[in-house]
Amino acid sequence: MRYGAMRIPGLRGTDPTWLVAGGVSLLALAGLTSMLLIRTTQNLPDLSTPSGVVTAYVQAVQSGKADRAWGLLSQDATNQAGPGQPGPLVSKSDFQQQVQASRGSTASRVRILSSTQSGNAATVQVEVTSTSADLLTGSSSQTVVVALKQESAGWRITSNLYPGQFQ
Amino acid sequence: MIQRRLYLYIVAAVSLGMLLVGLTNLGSTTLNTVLGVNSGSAFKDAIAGFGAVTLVGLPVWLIHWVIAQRLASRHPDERVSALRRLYVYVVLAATAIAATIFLRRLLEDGFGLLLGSTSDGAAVARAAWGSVVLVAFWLYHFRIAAADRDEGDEVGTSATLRRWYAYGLLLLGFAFLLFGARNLLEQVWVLLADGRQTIAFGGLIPAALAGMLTGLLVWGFHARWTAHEPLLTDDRRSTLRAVQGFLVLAGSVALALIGASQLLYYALARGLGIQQPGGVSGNLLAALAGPASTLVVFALAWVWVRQQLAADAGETEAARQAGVRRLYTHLVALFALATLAVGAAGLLWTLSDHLLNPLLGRNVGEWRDRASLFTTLALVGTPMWLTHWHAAPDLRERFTLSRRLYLYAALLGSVLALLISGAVLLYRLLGLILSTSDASSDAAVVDAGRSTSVILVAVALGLYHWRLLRADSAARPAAAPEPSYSGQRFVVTILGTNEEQIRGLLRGLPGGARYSLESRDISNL
Repeated sequence: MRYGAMRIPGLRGTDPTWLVAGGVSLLALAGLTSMLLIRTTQNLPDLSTPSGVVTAYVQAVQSGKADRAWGLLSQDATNQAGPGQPGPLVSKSDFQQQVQASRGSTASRVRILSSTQSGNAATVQVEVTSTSADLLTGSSSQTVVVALKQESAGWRITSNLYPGQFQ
Repeated sequence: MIQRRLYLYIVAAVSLGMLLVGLTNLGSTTLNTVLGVNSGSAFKDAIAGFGAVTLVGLPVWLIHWVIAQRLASRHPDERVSALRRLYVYVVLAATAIAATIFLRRLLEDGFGLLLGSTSDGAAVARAAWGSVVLVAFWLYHFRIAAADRDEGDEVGTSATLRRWYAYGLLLLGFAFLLFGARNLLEQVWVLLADGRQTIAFGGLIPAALAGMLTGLLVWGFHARWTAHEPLLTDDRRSTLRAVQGFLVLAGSVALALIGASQLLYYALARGLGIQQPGGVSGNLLAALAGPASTLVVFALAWVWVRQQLAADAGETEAARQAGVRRLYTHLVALFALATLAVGAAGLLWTLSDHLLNPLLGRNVGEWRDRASLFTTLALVGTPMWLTHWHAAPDLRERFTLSRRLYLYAALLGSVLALLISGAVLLYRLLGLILSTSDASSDAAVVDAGRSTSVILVAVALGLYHWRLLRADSAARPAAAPEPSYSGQRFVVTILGTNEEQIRGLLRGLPGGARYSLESRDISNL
């Protein structure tokens, strides 16, 4: 490597620390503004579509509204079983506890990757990105496929989802 | 004296550690109880445990520290002792690192509350309390260190201890700043590129913001501190400062290259019609956020640190700094060469597959993704190697240890690759000639083509570096001839010793020197 006399024109005499501070402030402002701007322009989830139902479910889980999230699950997943019959994988009270247990921690970013529909069935692929100890990115992503089916009340989630996945 | 110092500062350091752990946890537990997070029994348990630690740590630290301060004020030697400096800078480093972690947490939770990604108000209060306690103790010891420096010069071991602290914290702060900025840029990019598909924002932006701002604070403070006289003049030629700079530079170069490689790979693969290069699905523009952010942030850091190092080197680069620079340059050249070699061999391998498989009536398979990847490696490795490697530098650089290490490492890598690929090629050829059981399929021919690809690259690189080694040996200046002393005769008169001792001393003369020893009566002088 050769040390050329590399100088940025017009910046001679400026304390370089302030240049970095200026750049960082601009970036911080961009981060805050973009998040606030996109939040305010977002519409309410459209429950007539599979991706709208998944959106409503994720938002309900992240804001601790367990009853609202529970209401978006399919009857097959939530119905209490009769005697001798296999029951649902999780009861409503357990579900409520799971939602509350993961409240308070830093929430994950959830992004819809794709949504496919075939008759009364649909699948929505979402990417869940959480903060992690990854040195480079500070985050780790996983893809979750959510299955839905059309019921009389509209689209409902049939996948056995653990609420903590979206926290 | 040294035993007393050791005792005082070890006890002071341990008791201060106990005090800090006790104080931060006592405050956190109290805040949890006040804000209704803890139950009453948990509060009592914590008070008992951390209260005991605090009540033992505080008086022990106070007693020992007051004695140490009193001794330092009475005896100037005590104030400038290396052990005292060690204590002060270890405490400064420990409290600064812990305060950085608490501050980062405070900012992350604070921004999270503001932006609605978390609702844990108690976490903000806990982090604030921890930050206040640690910053207070750090500030107190920072002033102690400044007062000690004012009283006596900080040289030798003491100055080295200060540099370890300062440049360690600079490195930590810069890492927080760069990774935070990279992560924030990525999150903003994803939001702008794919905001409509983002159904929950999460806490990634607050976390990145917190990391970046904490890094700015830690780095900014220590950068300005070390940029002031007399520290600047004192440190400019220090090896630690150069090591810190080159570590950041090496990391920035590596990460900028990784970012550029990924970007180029995605672009090439998409150009060749691959829909999901490297398995990346969804919006490609959003997928580019990570590599593009890495490239932008670390390329800027690369330019910045290079400029700082150039300013430090100036006209009078110290010998050890030059050594660190050469080591860095040759290390980057070696990595670049490896990247270039893998890219070139991989391209030839893919080309060989593409030519031989159709000839043998075999399915070519997916080649465009591999071609994109290996082209990227070759395109990134080649300019890096060309800019860092100088085949015939000036004489001062030509016979350095790091250059010879680079040359031998490159030669070793080439020879090893040649050996392994040569063995595979010969095995496949012998199998074909002898019609062995596993040579019946056409895979043997394809394997032979792949081995030939690796051999070609290994031979080219091996020959190039072998020739350079020979050229370096030929250019090495001949050893200076021994000075001739023929014709010169020295007469030395020695008094006050005996012949045996003088003969013992004369045995230390270089080979070829001749002498005769003659004893004279002192009355003749």
